[in-house]
Amino acid sequence: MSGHDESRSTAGGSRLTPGVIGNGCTGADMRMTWVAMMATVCASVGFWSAPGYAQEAGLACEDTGAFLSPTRYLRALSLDLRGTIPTMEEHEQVTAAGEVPDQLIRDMIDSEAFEEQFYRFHRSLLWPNLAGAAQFHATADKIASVIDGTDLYDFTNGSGLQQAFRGAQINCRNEPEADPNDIQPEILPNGQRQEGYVCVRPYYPQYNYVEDGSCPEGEIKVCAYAAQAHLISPVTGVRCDQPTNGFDPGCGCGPNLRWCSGYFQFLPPLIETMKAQITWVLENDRPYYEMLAEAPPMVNGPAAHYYRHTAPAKGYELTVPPELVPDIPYTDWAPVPVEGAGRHARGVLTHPLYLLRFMTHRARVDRYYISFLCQPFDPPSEGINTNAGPPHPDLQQRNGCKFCHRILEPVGAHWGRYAEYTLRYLSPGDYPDFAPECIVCVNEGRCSERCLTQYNLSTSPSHLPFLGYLKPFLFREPAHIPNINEGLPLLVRRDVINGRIAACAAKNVARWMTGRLPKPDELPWLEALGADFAAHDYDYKHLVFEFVTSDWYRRVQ
Amino acid sequence: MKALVLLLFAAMTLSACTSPKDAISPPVVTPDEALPRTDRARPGARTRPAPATNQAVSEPPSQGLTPTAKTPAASAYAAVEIGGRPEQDPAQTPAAPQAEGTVDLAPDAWDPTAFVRPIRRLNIDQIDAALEQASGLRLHQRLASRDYVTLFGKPDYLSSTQEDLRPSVVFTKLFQDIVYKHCWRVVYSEYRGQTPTPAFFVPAPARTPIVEADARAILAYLLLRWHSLVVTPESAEVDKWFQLLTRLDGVAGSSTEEAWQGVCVSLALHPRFYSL
Repeated sequence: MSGHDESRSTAGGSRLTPGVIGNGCTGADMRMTWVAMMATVCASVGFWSAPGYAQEAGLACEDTGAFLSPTRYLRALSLDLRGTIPTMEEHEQVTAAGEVPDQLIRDMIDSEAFEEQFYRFHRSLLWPNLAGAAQFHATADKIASVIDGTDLYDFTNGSGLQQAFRGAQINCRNEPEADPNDIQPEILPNGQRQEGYVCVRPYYPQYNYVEDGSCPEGEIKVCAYAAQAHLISPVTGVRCDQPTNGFDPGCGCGPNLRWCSGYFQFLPPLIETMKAQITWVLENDRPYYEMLAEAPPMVNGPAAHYYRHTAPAKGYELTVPPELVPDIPYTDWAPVPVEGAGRHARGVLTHPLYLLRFMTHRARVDRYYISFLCQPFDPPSEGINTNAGPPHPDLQQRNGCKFCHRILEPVGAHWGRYAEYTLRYLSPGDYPDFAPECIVCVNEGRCSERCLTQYNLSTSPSHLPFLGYLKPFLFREPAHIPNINEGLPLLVRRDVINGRIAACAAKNVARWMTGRLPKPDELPWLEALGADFAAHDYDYKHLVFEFVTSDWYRRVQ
Repeated sequence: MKALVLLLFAAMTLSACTSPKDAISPPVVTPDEALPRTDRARPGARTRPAPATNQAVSEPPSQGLTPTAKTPAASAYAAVEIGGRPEQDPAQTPAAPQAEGTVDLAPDAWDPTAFVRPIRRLNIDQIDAALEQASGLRLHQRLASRDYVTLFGKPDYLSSTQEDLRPSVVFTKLFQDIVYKHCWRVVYSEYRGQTPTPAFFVPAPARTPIVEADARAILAYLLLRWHSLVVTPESAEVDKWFQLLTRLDGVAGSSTEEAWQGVCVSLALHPRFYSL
């Protein structure tokens, strides 16, 4: 590896003076620290002060045109493909052979460790994480947990339910409630109310819960209001598994607390299901593009509970209906595919995390274009005139906006049946393209939540043609209307046919493996690599193998 | 004004309830007509109005959208403002996009002087795994398990979305802390024969005082194991590391064991180990 050649990456002690090391060394720890620090200086100074570092590129070495030595090549392969350095056995194998055998590379690509690296890179494309009230709060209604400093499970202060039930943000009494079906709270002098607790076996383990023997083994103390398991509220007579009844004093967490959850309880398991969906193409030797709109939805124990109980209680209409989701023990985190899921539920582009992380159609398009088409929405270097004339109501035609929105709007229609700012699949049966009642309601001045949130109700001249139609129909040109109901499979098929997914995948592999964007003179080769990738039925392992065995990858740093 | 608007809505509502297709025509674009690829039209899809295309904008919206007899005057529409400015009349606006620079949205910020492959430090997952693989000993505390992993450049995809692989001061400091502790454990246990499968003193046992031939063999082995560098015990590369070992061993008050700990630290903190 001439980029790290021995003359430059010295570990020698020419700059090391024993007198300096001796200064200040008293105790053993101090000696160790000084020894280590000086050793570090010796190891690093020679490297980072090398001529390559002095050049303007910072931490980059000049291209000498040479290739990595076999063992350094092996090291690069192992780190990129498995995330760790080679074993001594592999070092010896390569040293004896004088090269890295192709079979060794294929073994690395076929390993589970490669799947982990594959996911790690795609995580950087899909950004699977949520936070804040705007995003993850939406996934956990009736937030509850064991209250800090107590052994009482209750609604948390942030849910507002303590205030609603007791008149203040206070805990319940740490005494059994006499009759859970007839809660008799103790009325405090200030008018606040405190009920007792009920023993309940929760649907998920409370790892830090310390049982004091008050409840049978496996059960925990739950404040009586939160412990209520009625499906129909005895107070108001309405269903308790509906989102609008969260403050009903007759509604609690349901049987085994199934409607309640911690604030971030479902985030890690949902991330795991997205990971399983991403790596599905490798595990099943499927074409790479099927990850986007074909990979089946996955669930594990916690995610299954989320799909079956939490999301419906929140009022979400997920792409996977609860009845299709298998009943998996909560503690089982091994993901399994959901059999029978519709095509609208397939692929990472419909995963709940993707839809929540990118809450608008435009954001969903933006991430897809950047990550899988390598086409960011950057303005031209000469800028955009944003002040030319009066604004057109259609962003596809409005000066200053149309540069990006000519793409964003029609492509966003592919997500048209996935509501914005929430998790709701707008099935054609429940949400037809055109809803006459949403015109009637405009006239009457009283529209349902369904009309208000999902249908065009504006009566401005430019919007009037779309009155009563689903919002994604607004300003759609005829050629783009099929995008709405054909959805993401049509989008992906388009970009498979035009070759852009393949071309971008080749660029992404280059960026992943080399840590930089390709240079213009490298693009033709990458295009050829992308075409070869497509010709091999989008076999991602083939793509990676071709890249890491190329001269480009084997060249020195 | 309000009455006129209501009148318009009443007329539209009546039409929509009785025959939506008639109410919003002409022009009407059925899915099959709208689609160049008619095979992709959803069966049973409802009819829909023609959006604002070149053809549509050639006429005022009111003429093409409401039944003639019941159509109130255009002035019945409420004025709409966008950003404090009156909405542009669609009929006055060409539907075709106007030139606004190049249409290639790809960035053009290529650096023609860029080198083939920039040096990157390993990410913290790789560093954890590489340290354990090289030393043959599990870390007591992994870099990736720390609460402040974002300080090591690992993105959480909320506050940060790019992995920062520069060897920053924070990274260097925290990495050094872990390496110091880990190397102490590695050498301590192997020096006392407490490791079932040694990974450090493999070609020869640890000895005090230093035996040069043994030490050189060990160093050559370690350079292959930690840096994937093939060198002979007599090579110039090993000369440098042997010089380091002997000088550390010569530090007043230090022991040979501590000198080997220093070598371990040097191997780990050498950019050849933690970079790619």
